[in-house]
Amino acid sequence: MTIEDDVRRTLHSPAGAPDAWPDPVRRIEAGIRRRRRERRQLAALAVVAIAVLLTPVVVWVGSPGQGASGPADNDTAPGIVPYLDRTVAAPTYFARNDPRPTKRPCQGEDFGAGEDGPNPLWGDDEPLATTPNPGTEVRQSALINSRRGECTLSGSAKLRGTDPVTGQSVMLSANAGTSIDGGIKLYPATIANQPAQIDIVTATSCRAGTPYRDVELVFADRAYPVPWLIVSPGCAIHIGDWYSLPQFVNVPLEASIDAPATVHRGETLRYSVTLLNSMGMTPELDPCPVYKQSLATTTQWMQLNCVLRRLPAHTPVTFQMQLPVPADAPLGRTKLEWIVVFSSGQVRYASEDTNGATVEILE
Amino acid sequence: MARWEAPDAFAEFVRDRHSELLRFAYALTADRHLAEDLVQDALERTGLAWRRVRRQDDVEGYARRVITNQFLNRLRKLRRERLVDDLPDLAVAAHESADDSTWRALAQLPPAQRAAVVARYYLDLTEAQAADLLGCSVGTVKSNTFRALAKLRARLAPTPEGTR
Repeated sequence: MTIEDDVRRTLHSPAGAPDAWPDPVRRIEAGIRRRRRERRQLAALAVVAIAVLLTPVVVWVGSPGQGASGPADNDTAPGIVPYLDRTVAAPTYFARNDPRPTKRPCQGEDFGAGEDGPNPLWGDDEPLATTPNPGTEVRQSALINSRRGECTLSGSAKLRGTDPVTGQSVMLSANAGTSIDGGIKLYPATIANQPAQIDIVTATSCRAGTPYRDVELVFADRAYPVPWLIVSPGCAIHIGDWYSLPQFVNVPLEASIDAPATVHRGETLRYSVTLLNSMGMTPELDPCPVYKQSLATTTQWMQLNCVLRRLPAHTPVTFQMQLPVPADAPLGRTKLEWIVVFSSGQVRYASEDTNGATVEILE
Repeated sequence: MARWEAPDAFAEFVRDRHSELLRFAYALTADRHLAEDLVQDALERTGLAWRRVRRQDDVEGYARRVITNQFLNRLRKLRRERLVDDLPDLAVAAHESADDSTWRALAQLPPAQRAAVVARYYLDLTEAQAADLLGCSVGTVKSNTFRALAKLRARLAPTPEGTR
């Protein structure tokens, strides 16, 4: 029997698989009702907060005879809103859960087993699709499970490996503490049952040549294997600081991407994002929200076309989008990601269930 | 606000396919509790997006993509989610059946490799179909599958019937 046959047979007859649910429809209905309830409560809080903040303005701006939920004169929904070619600076404020306060420094005893066994570190064999500089790769390593309560990982880490020529264990030369990839990260990383992450940037040429063996990340008085990292003598390495990802606060809004499956280098990717004010609670588009669109190495912050002052309740509105694909964009499948940021700092990822839309970049 | 009730077509989909989705999620995660959570989450999201999803040819494929995506991105997604305190220990049995050994070896694969193996050998997808499910390139599917099978060969002893 081949390994493939063995795997196929095992996967199709696993002991311990969950039993069918006795009343699956009711179970899912209950879950959906709970989500809708939570969204209403969150949106209601947001409305109250906005109302409190804007009350003096509403008194002056509101016109008699117009209900609170009625459309303004320029609120006719055309259904499709054309693309607005206006770049903006990245917003500086994002509403998020309060970051965890700094705790005692983490030590090796704090880290529980990882997904693959005793190593608490976890990393991807494949680098991130977007990198800060051409010719480099960014690999993220994540650390989970603090066993002894909250602790804080601050600063960077070191790399150690076995030299392929001498067989000696050596510390690898690296620029440490570099802020990599921008993005929204919290430093330092206070963890307890949530991951801390660290980014390691290497030149793509690091994969050439005979690599170091048994590469380890050294921090918190221990060393942990990083088998997904391939580095060879002489290659440039940058290790960031430990960080955790902030928990954004979502705006009550549904957003979905509709994009073509392929685009050619040098072309403009034309796609659309449909926004739905499903609960009737989406804040007004004044101030006009901004959005970030990204595909492979291209990231842009843009102004949403706010021809509508508000999204009409229960009516989808489709916004046309364009994103230029550079002539040297990396070929292959990648994710088109889109996130809108309201002036309140609340955000919404489009097609969050599938992490955006998959687009293949062709020659 | 009206109480949400499942449209007939969605209810039928849930009744007919939830158990298969549970088996798929279990093959993917090797953890029955996580599998149930992922399927519950995916079906709720599918129900909420039903008006859009139902227009697609492959609703079950959509649900599988949600399950897979949620599984692979657990450490990166910006969600209010608590991870378990301890991962379940893998009990060491004195004498395991061949199936148990293979299942344990599969469970110890990195998530991306396990997902590739499940896509190729549980769902029997082509490399291109697997790439679509996993949101990656065909090359990545190939390399993850290759590495996974190499690890499995190294961990599992040859069977009396033949070589691996």
